[in-house]
Amino acid sequence: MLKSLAVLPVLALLLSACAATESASPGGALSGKLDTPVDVTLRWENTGQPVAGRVLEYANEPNGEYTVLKFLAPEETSYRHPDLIPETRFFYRLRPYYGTASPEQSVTLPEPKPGDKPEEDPHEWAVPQTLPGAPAGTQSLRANASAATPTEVKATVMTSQGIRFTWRDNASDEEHYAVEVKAGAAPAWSTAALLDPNINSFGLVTLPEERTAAYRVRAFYYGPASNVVELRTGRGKP
Amino acid sequence: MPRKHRVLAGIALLGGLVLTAPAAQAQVEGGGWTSRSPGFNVQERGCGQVNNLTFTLTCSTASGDQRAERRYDTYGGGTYQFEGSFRIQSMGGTRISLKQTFQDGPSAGPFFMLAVERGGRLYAVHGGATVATGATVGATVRVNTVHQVGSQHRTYINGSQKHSYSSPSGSFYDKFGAYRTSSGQGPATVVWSGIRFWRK
Repeated sequence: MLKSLAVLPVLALLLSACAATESASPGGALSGKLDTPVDVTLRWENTGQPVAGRVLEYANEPNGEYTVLKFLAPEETSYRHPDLIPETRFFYRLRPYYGTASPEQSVTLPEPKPGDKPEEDPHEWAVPQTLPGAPAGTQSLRANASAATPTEVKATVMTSQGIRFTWRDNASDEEHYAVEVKAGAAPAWSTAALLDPNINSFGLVTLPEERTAAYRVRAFYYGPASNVVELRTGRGKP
Repeated sequence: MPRKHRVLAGIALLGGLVLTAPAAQAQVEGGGWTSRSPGFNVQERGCGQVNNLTFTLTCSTASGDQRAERRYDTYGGGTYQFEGSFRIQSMGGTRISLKQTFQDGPSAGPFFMLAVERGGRLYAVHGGATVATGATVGATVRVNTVHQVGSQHRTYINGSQKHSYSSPSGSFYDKFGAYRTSSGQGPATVVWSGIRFWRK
């Protein structure tokens, strides 16, 4: 019996050693690799049904709460997650999201006037809200994405650094609204704010580089999650 | 039960323990952690309002004490871990401190303050170093701090180490919520979730 028990720690070590240092799945699914003991690169292929984008998420427990690492453009196929917590399990998954964006609007903010203190504005207009009396969306994003796209998008300059966006909620089954921005000469769109379903008014306080920028509003829903990649980090950098 | 089957059953049981044990432990920085549940009190000053884990500064006042926070119990020597996620629901203001590690006792004062600037840049208030970006309205951001009292205080944002400080020995405590820094102002609404503490 003692001999049998002596085997168990060895087995435990073997099981522990099975904690992946590389995880790959066939068929264009999500794969991940430890480049160093604490740096991970995740890869996937841009294949299949066209998507509005993808969201990469991580958790530290198999059934834990997933946290978004990044909203990714459709053409992106890799992501590096650096300087990770050592000796810790990381679980990754990728989710596509679907939904078309409104036409873009370009906004140029006025230069601040002498004595102008936009930060002293109480910004009540910036709070995400569903406007009273706004009609609830009736079109399914899943069935007819174009009909469910936000319309009547209006950008109102509220201060020299703040814009209030309002729109018509046409979607009955959105999971989020996103306000997307492409500032000045920026090469790509990014997500400026992520809003709950049925929100149709939101005020964005802009960054200095966004004095002139294009904006659009997207209603979207998530598709099924990819395979889950599990990696365990090592002891860390010396 | 034949001896071979007993051994296999034991192995299976051990395997199950090996595979499931981490769920009961701290999820970051190896093992040896013990879960703890420190008490806290709610601090509302100025235009700060606390509703469970929703922390709001309702005014844009750029002076005075404007805070909505939870102040947890003081801890002493050892290593302590905090985990929580925040989501900025709305922010018209800027430079709002979200998570703080305070030193208690005769040397009382903020030891580490993680704050957010307009646009989502997270920074360390003392020194001003950028900690991370991406704390835009609506985005959930995970914070882990590991504090080896007398040695080091490390901050992880979304799993990546973003900041470290040397730490003196002494007594400390955790605070989080929404707090106007000396150069900041509201309004802001921040929702925290998934709060957990460990020590070893």
